[in-house]
Amino acid sequence: MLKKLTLITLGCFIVISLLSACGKTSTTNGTAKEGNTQKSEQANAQSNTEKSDEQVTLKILNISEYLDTPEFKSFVERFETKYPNIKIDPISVPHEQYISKRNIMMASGESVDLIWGNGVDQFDAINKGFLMPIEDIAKQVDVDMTKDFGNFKADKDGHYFRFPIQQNNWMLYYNKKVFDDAHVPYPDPKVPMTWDEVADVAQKLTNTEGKTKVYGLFYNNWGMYYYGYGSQLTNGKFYTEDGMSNINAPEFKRSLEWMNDVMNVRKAAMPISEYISNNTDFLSYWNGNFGMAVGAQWYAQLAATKKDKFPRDWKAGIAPMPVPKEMAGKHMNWSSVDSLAVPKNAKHPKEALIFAKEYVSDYTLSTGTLPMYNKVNADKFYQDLANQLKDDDITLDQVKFLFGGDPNTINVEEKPILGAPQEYESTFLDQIVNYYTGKATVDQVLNDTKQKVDKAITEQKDK
Amino acid sequence: MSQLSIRKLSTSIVFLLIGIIFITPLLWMLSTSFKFENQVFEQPFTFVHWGHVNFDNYRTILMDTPFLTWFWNSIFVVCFSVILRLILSVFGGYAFGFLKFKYSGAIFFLFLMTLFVPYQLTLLPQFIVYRYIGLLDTRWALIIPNMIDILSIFMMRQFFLSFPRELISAAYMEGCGVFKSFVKIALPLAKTPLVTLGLLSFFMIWDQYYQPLIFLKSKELFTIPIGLQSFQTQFGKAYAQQMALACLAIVPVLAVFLTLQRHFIESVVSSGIKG
Repeated sequence: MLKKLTLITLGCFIVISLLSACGKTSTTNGTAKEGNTQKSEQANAQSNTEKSDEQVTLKILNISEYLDTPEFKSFVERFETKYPNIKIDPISVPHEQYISKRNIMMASGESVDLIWGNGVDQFDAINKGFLMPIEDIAKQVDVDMTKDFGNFKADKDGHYFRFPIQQNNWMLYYNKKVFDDAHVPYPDPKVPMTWDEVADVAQKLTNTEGKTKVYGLFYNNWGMYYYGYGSQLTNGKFYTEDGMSNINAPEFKRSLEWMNDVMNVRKAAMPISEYISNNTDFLSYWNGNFGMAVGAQWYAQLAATKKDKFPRDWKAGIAPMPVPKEMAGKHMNWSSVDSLAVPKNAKHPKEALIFAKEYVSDYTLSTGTLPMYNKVNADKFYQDLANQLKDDDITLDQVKFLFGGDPNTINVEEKPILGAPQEYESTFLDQIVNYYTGKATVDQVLNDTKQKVDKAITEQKDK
Repeated sequence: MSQLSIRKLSTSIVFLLIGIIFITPLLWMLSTSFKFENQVFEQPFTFVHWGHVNFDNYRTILMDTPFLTWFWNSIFVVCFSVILRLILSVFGGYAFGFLKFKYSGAIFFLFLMTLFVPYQLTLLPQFIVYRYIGLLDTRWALIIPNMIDILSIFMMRQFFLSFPRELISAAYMEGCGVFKSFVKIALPLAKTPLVTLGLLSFFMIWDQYYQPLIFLKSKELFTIPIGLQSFQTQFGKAYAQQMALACLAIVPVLAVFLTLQRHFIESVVSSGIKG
């Protein structure tokens, strides 16, 4: 009996100890109110800055494709020479599992000074309370968040959490050989086609009779290829005034129906079932069997300028991104901002932003991308890119116009980023297949998506 | 043609077709490793572009990536993990299956219950524990969780459950203790299940992805599966290079399997006969 009692007491002791250990962290987190936390984080950051001469090591979490390059290594060497008191400890993670690793590191309280993310990733981190506001610390490193990144707005409650790196610049890429074979004139280099014109041209370019199928339009199985037209129509309004999903708005319905027309009625784009079963990759466009593709600067960066990896016997052309007929003649872009951000548990926020500033001033250009930081001279970037694309008869003027140099470009959100962005995108993509394979109507798909996303947003707000 | 040979022929054709189905992914992997990225999903499919074979993928893997470091790390982690797992599993299996002790059934049941916890759920607690004991970003963070595998203990326990007691009793009568009788009698007879277990563990640990991803930070410690994923960008995968790496990475797995397949088949056959 005594033995049993001892065992039970011991068991209870272990369980209580474990629970109290877990509870300690959650109480600390739970009692701190958002506003106070943000103030104290900025105060901590300021106190850290006073000791700026001490040797610090910055932990930088980023995806492999940005950290595992010779360009990044030489950038770090330059940086450490310029700031001898700051050492860089890069944590490189393959993109597919980047969020898993980031979440585990953040949730476990592991100290990281700077994390990379696209719009969805960073808003997910903001919503989870992982990040600290940076506008005050940015001032200390001579960066004005309200002016130095063009029209970049505060992220949440008037605070800036993201230090912008780059913005996607979308355009229409086309295969000149496919146009020549179909005797169709090339798109205008400055005046965008309307989506209706794109559908007509795609149909003319399509030839699925021969040994090799040629589709007029290539698309990727990403959300914006289905709802992006609707984003242009609604000025990127993916959320209603009360913060719920707006995906069932008539503009998004029209957008999805347009794609259905191209894919299933005109048969000018690969059917989605074939696309998925073939495991079609977004770089498949460069195998030459497609007439047009809407793509961003990454197509130039990854394929058009890399003929050793993507050899081709055809010339590529570029034109402005298609627009709805209501916006005819306007240069539009789906805007998605990649950024760096400082986690709440960063040990050296000021040094992290010094690094972020150098990253956008020095490194981003070498990745083939124009940084949003407007103190960077972009002329060399445009010239280098134009030189790399000159075999395609693409001029410096076209490059400047389409790769971020047109101040009149109208930017709309590329994808939903505010409430439950990851659930929004994944739910949408899960549902959309049902519409394009004829298993559900567009209204059913949009309503189901809205219902599920609203639930995710509500759950997120309740947390 | 007699009825028997028709039956044999048709069986052979069926098995040949099944074989082709199984080998197709490997052939696709090999074929893709010699292609350019924009030829990977080309239609119609071409096995090899004989006039335009791309050896550059292999050159990139061997010259421009730390392939040999990843390879060595994988070998190191797998060998240590498998050896330690075999030692602990055979001890555990013998204790639970043959020796038995007070509450051994209940304790083993508790062990088995851990199989119902999804691995992903344990990642965060493991991460925190390893950080506190300073094992994060070391090879031990990969070896330690692989040392104890309940399924392996279970397999060895099943083997020792039907182990003839007379043999050990005879050893006791000859003056052997528990440990000596285990080492001299039980262990040599457990060779076949141990080889099978070793082989299965080798494949399983070689393929592990989440553990190195979460517990490692330094690129010098990365293993092959992490290396494979480094060809994945936010926009897509460099399939051709990934397949070249996969072709190189598969060599030790094939070598181990081909060396030990006789024991593996023996074990399957003998367990089939017993079953």
